[in-house]
Amino acid sequence: MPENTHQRNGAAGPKQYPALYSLAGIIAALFGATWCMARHARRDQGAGRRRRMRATSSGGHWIRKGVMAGLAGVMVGVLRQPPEKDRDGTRRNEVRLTSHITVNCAPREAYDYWRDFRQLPRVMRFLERVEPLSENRYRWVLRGPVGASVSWEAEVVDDRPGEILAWRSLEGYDIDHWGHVAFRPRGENRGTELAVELNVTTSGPATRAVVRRLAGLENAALDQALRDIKAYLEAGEITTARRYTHPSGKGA
Amino acid sequence: MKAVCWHGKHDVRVEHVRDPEIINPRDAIVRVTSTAICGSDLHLYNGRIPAMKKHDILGHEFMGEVVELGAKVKNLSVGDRVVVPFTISCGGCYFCSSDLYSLCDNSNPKAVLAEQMFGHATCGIFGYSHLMGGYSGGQAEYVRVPYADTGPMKIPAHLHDDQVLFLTDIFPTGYMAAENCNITPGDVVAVWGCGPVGQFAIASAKMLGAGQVIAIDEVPDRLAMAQGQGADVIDFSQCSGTRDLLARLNGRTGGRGPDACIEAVGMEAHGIGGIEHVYDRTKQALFLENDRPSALRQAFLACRKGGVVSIPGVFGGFADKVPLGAMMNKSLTVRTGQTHVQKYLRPLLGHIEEGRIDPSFVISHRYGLGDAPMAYDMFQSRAHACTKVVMKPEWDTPRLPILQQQQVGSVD
Repeated sequence: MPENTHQRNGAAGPKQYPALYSLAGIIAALFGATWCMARHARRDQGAGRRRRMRATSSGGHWIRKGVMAGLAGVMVGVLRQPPEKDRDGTRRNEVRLTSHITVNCAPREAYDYWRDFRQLPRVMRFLERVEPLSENRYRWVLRGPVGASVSWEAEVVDDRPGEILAWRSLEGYDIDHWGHVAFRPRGENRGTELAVELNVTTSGPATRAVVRRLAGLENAALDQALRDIKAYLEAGEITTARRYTHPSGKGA
Repeated sequence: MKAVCWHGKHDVRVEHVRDPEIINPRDAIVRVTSTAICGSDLHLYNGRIPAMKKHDILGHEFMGEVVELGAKVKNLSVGDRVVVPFTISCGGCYFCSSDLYSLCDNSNPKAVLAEQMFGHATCGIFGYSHLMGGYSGGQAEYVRVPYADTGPMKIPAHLHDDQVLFLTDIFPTGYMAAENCNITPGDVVAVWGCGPVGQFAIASAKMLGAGQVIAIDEVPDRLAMAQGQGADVIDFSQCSGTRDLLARLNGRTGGRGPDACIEAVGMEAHGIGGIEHVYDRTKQALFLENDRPSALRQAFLACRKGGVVSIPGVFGGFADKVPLGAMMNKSLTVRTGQTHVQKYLRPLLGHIEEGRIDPSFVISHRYGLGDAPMAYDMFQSRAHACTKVVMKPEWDTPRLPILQQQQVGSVD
């Protein structure tokens, strides 16, 4: 299990595509210039009708504006070019989430909730489902973009009831995933602290879509998942302020 | 159903909205028989609180009849008459287990917002902005009540609504403020603000053994009400300034100052975005909505050495120039918090049943729900000696068909 527990928010965001900014800038410049020239041509044609709408600036002015905007786009792209690796050394196609929470229950109760991996998608919205293959092996299905999904098999690698639970994906998938949860009693009537680390690394072009999906997977998502687990364990349900179920009938 | 909806500053409307439904197994649906406008609702009315959205249903003081129950609610039955605490509490977290219900870990679905503001999220509150969870409130014909097995308390049939309605908020709030003062027999307690919470703080301080209660306000009928409860009063508008007020308080306490000071005014300076915005708001420090120095500062300065300053008044953001020097050097104890209503329901119901107090004395006006816009305006302007407005949804006639599910816009 990697030792590094630095918190890291998000992953490959748009800022990591400097070329896109530059390209968008150049396109904007070309488009601006073309549009202005076309506009001029049209105005010349309908000069009589459009006299009152006389442009406040010449076509050349608009072209200059377009070019300036393009240059600005290029500058933004260059300035926002990210370093090869992030400060904590994680690779750019890696998402590492860490969080912790204290739940008012015994370590074993919290462990039991987690050990039944099938329940995780109830609180981790980025998961579609986790299905058991055997006692220690599960198929994880990640909710991908536009209905697509990506799955892998993972194996429990450390299982100490009420203390530690760790799992890792098997070889042969484009996604390398591991997770580690420590359950620590906080003392008499003070509940159990859950310290959670999740790591997802993608490789291969086939998972590019997933990478994009994971770009939205921030630490806040894990924080919220832990809040929801806490709510299930302490209150038996996740609170909602809604007044009625959705018209589709999908409640809570 | 009909409901009082927030639309903006000084704009509340009575609208037809969809009836609430059971969503979670611990929910109940309550048909509201009485609901009140709270002083803190006026801060919503004045647009002082962000994270409000159009069509949000207002109201956190309400009671009524249970008409529907979720599968897991075992302690209530359909038809029970209940009061509903304004604090929504799960009953299972560390804080609920410690009787600190307003600090519930699980009842605020917008915990992230609250964490940004306060460092940690506190409980959800009915009809009190999305910072407090965005729950629909009780100024409506029906309310969805989450964690119904932890909050609502059954009411004996011989007590009428007006006697028990204020168990939902202002009576426990005033009581907790007085309890926080650690009153020993004969203590002098000063109360800033003689609105409904202040009135209950006065009554509670007396019940807990205070020898003298000094009430500070400037609204004549509220001072008269405090006087009626046996409090000595100071009309703030007669004071030339803070020094004058402090001198008067010292004059009545042999120069020592009150043993405990209750700040029942509040300073609803809110703002999620910028500290600067909050700072500016706070600079308009409220003293019952005039521009005099804040009640909190006065309480710190007036309190005797080693005394207690208890703050039931609602604060939401950052306060400017609070005299921490006085607090530290005079060894003051500060106690505050949103009320842990569930903790006080039974003891206070006992006080009402045994006739030690009849909370209905603060009510000045009674209306149907349809009169809400007028009632808000009147309460806001303190016109017609308005102290407390109670609304009875049943009074609106003709009764509208409750099966109506669609939003059809404003009725008025």
